[in-house]
Amino acid sequence: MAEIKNYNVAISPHKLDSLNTRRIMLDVIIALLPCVIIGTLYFGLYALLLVVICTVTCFVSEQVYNLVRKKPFTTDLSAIVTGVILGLNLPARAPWYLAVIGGVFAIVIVKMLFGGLGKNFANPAATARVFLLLAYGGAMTRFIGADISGNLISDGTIAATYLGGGSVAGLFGKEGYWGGVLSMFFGYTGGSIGETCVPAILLGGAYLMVRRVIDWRIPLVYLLTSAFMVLVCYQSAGEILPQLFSGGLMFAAFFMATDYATSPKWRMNRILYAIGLGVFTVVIRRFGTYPEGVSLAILFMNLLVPAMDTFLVPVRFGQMTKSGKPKPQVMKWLMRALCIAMAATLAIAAPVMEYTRLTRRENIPVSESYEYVRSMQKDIRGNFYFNVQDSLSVPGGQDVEYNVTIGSIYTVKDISPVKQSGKYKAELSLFEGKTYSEIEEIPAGDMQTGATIVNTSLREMLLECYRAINDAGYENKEYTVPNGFSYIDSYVKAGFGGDDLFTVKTELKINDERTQPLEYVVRLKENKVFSVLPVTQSGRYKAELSFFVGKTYEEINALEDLTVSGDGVVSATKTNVALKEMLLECFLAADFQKNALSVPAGFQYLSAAADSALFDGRAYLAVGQAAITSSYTQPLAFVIVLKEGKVSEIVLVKQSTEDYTAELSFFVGKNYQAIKELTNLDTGDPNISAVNITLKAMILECFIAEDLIAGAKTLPAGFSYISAAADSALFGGSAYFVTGSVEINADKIQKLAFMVMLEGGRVSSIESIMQSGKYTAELSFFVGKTYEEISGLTDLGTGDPNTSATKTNTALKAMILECFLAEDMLSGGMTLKEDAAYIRAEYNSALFGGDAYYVTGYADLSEYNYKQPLSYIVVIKDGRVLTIEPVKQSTMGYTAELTFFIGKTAEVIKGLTNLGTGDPQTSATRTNTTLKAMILECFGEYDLAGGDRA
Amino acid sequence: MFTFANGVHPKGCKYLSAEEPIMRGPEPKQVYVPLSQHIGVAAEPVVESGAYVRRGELIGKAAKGLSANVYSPVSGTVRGVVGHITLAGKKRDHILIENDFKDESVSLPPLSEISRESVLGRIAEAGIVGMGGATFPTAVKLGVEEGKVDTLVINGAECEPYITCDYRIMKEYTHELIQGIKFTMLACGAKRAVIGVEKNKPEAITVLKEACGGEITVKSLKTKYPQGAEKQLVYCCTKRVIPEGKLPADAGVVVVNIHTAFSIYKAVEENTPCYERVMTVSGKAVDKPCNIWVKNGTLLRDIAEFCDGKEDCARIVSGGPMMGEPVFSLKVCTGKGMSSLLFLDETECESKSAEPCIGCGKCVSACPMGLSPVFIERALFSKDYKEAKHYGAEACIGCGCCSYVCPAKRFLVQSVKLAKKKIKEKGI
Ligand code: SF4
Ligand code: SF4
Repeated sequence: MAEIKNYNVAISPHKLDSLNTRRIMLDVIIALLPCVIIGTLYFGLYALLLVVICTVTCFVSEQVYNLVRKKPFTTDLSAIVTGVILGLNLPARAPWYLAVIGGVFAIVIVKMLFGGLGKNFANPAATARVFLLLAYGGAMTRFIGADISGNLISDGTIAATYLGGGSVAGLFGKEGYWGGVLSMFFGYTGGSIGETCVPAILLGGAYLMVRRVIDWRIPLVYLLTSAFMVLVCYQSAGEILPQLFSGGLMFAAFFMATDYATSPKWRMNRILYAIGLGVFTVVIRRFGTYPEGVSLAILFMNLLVPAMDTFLVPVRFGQMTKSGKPKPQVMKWLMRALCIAMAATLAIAAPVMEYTRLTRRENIPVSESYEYVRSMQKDIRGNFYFNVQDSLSVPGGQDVEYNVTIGSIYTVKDISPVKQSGKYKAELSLFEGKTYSEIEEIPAGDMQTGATIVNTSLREMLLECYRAINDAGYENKEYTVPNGFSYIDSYVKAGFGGDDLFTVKTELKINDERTQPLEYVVRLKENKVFSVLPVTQSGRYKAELSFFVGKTYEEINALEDLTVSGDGVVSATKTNVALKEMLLECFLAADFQKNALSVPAGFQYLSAAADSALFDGRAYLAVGQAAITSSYTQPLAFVIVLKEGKVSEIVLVKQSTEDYTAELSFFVGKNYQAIKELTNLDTGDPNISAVNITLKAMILECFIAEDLIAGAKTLPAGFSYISAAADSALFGGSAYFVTGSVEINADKIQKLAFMVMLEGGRVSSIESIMQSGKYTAELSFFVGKTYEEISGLTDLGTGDPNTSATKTNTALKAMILECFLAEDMLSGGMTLKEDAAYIRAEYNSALFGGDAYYVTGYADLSEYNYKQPLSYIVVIKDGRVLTIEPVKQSTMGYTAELTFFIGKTAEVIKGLTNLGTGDPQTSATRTNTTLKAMILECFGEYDLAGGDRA
Repeated sequence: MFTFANGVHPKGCKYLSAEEPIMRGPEPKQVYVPLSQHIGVAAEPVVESGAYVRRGELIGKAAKGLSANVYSPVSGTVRGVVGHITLAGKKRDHILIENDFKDESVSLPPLSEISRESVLGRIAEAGIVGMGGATFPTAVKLGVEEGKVDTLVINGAECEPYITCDYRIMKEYTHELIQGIKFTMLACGAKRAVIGVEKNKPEAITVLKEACGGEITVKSLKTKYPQGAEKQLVYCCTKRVIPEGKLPADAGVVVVNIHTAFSIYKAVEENTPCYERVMTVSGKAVDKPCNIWVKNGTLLRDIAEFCDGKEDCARIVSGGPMMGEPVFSLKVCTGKGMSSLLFLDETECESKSAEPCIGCGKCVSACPMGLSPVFIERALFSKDYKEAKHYGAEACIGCGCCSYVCPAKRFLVQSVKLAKKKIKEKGI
């Protein structure tokens, strides 16, 4: 035998498994064929074309990449597999370019750039699907479905998928739950090309498992975990099958999750991976904003695979722990236990749980008075679904109807025409994916063509959908409604468009036996009633909305005749009257909200003030009560309008239903003095007189407030009592509005408010605004006195046994002294400082005769979660602290030890280290510390100014 | 069925030669008896060129350390100690003997008494080594201290495809085998013996079950590769796990191949030293697949001619297709450990070219030792030997399951073995 040998010398093993890469890929393609065929049967040749386009794109882009990178061409068919899988993941009517974009993305970005076959960490098809979903959300979620005879369900538009909140028709004569499940099983539902038909998927999956191409663990554990998680998250066994059969779950379980490169290599890790997939899929579906979670879950778990492969490695045969014991197969038993536990839970729980489906969409009742919106629904994910209809005034007339979905992030997710002209179709892309404001800004455009009219009408409809969302109470910004209104239940700024939205309610008395609850949602826009949506009203006696809609405050106010023809029992008229009042109240509330002025705190009646746009002048909302009888107090509220020192108008807001209406003529047109001097408020009816008395007090308060607002002077913050300062036109001189309280006894705290007028260094007068009726302050103690005189007053007793009056006097004394300090500031050439740490103002004090600094700050008691506000007046003269006047400090006795500082120079104070006062809580010490810093800051300013200014 | 984890199921292909009774093999004109037919130090030649030797005469004496005696398989004239190529491709010393076809023979002196020492001594004297392929001097293996070993496991798994020599021995020499096992038990001090036989050899199991008894039992094992690997076999036969880095003896077990036990029988009972063995010649490229007695030192060419093996086949392999070594030249001679010679045609073996790993994880699922060949290979390529160790490269038994299953046809065993070697070298 010659030495010529034909045999090869090759290394062991010499026998190899018949499975090779190409064969595996071929097997996957074979397994995908049932899905492709069924997809074509259900969705038509275009679906097949999509798959083919996608496949070709994938293949070509891989080879082009190889060409560019000068690598050999690949022949392993894996690009084809990716292409077919991605193609089957597309909706059947997706535009062709999605297939191209998705294919290129999957192959080039996800696979080849990471090194090609086997080196990519993310599943190309799943990633491309997620990418397309994010980039082309509208097109990627516009699914169609097919019915049993192959007719497309809603061709060209959308078939509501189960996950998207749709319902599914029955099959084989079975209706209801099992009918729906059967339909979904056979794929007569909306979805991507390849994912609807479960038998086709199972066929392919079984083939792959038999051929040992895929590990059975991944799909089966994935499905098991999903079923278990559905049971947990949806609390319904009936949800299990629909969830498993809908969306991409089945398809992904067999064809995508099993992708080699992106799933773990060890079997136990694969189980863990599949469990993770199941958990994330269901959690995303249940709680996420996307209806479909499969691709995202795969993508997310892909990220964890490298970590799993690194840290969870198989236990070797014969592997020992450090202590020489066989290493336990923890993962193996854990995974087994988990799977068994889930299976057992399902087996036990599923049969005994009720097979009801969740109501996936909740109907929100919509008012008939909407122009376009006919129905509205909301699903558990916060998506809104509308049915809108309109009749267009094109030649011949045209009815249009759309189903609109507004997503939970308030973009137009989908518009699907139900009825529209064959000729003039709305340009949906104008609106899809847009937000409210984007739609609002779409220019109305040329109205000449039919299609433009369709578009314009669609725009109006969409805007109304958004309004309906607001009207239903979603996404609004709540305003606080001032006290005193009768009907307003809530007042919000509409989230879309910013209109004023009111919910108004009342109980209308029809006759002695019957009352009728009324509730409306009122929308004000541009000072007009934009819409009134009845929420509750009588079925028979409805308000005649056309009386009101589109009208202004004046117009509605002027409405006299609200009778409805043919309303025998005048109930409808009564409803109209009530609605009128409600609407007026809405206008008032909006006026106070929009043009609000801040009212100094401390008034008894005033609840709001505004530079009114409705009335000519300044409007005040006064709220109070009139004690009519000992058992009945009448709540009252008025809008009092002041102009040029006179009451120009009084509007009733809340009045007795018993006809105790105030006699407005007593007051209108009068000034402060005139009203103050009114003593006879009697109208012959004592009850009305009581109302009048309250009104008088209210009006006087308004004048005071007006005085304060009109002559307002700026004071730095930090005073204990002063809530406003003004040059008073009413009383002459500087007026200070001071408020405070005295503790009468443990249960009762008496609120106090006074107007203190200073003139020429003396108290010229004091107006009492609020104090106890019984223990009133003895004003004569103070009027006409100077600062020194008042601070020298020690005996403030009035012979009052309860000492309440004395307490009031004491409080008033403190208030007045504060007023003097403020006056000193205002008249001492005060300059406000904003950038200093403590100094708020500096001025030349006439009271103390030196350079005065008004400082505010905090004693830091953060361990008690408290910061004690501190305010002082520090007076410096000749380089020394002349005096320190506390304005505000702790009332608990932790007051600053002024003697530490008074009379000392900056250097001495700087050198002070021991500021303790023996105070165990160190609160006083902290106060001292802060004061020290304040004083040093004052010295800094003092030095800057070059010494004494005064 | 109780079995070890993972493993693969290659086609057995044993039908080719399973029913061929053991026959006499070729009578070579000359034999190149290798002096190194075993693990350890080569034997020292004790004959000179021109000397006349008979069959069964000592020609190579065990050197110091791990070594084994070598006997002449033929009668004839020694033509000297010559360098001759071995299967590994290296030149090694062989004793060239020209056959005079007179077949004169000598035997070893009969043993006066059968005791542990005498049997052990005879095993060493007869130059018996592990004949499953490991060629570890058997006397050393059996000579563990008294009482350490309680179980003898006889490896009748024969898990490699094609090979049927052990099967034939079990069938044809059943009683001799049982006798040999008894001697082996005596030699190692085991109290019981388990013969592990794969289930695909039901006839062998039946005859053995009939023949054995007492402390010797037969265990039928799942047909799965590598059932015959020491650790896996011990686990399946005794449920004992041999800890990593330890010998079977540490688990109280000694493993001996069927053919070895048979050789022990021949040495003790028939006083025949070890100079020939039963070999399977098989494969589709051989006309007459057979099980034959082959003298040590027979040129492979002689065997090929004897069985009409075709040289223009796809691949010639010595040993099984899973772990066997490729034959690059038919000039190579047989030795004590060469259990088979396979002539494979194209349908039986693939010439592979590695493609990119597709990450299928099949190698992880196949490795009977619980390693992750794919990651070991990746670690090796990035020279991260720590990582390779993390994935268990050290524990590789070289069974080749990983390479077998890999759809990308990657050279995984070689990679893992290399990683193992590197780890050892670097002392990581
Ligand atoms: S890594 Fe070693 S032990 Fe594991 S299958 Fe490969 S050759 Fe066998
Ligand atoms: S079997 Fe081959 S292709 Fe699969 S993971 Fe292992 S090395 Fe990669």
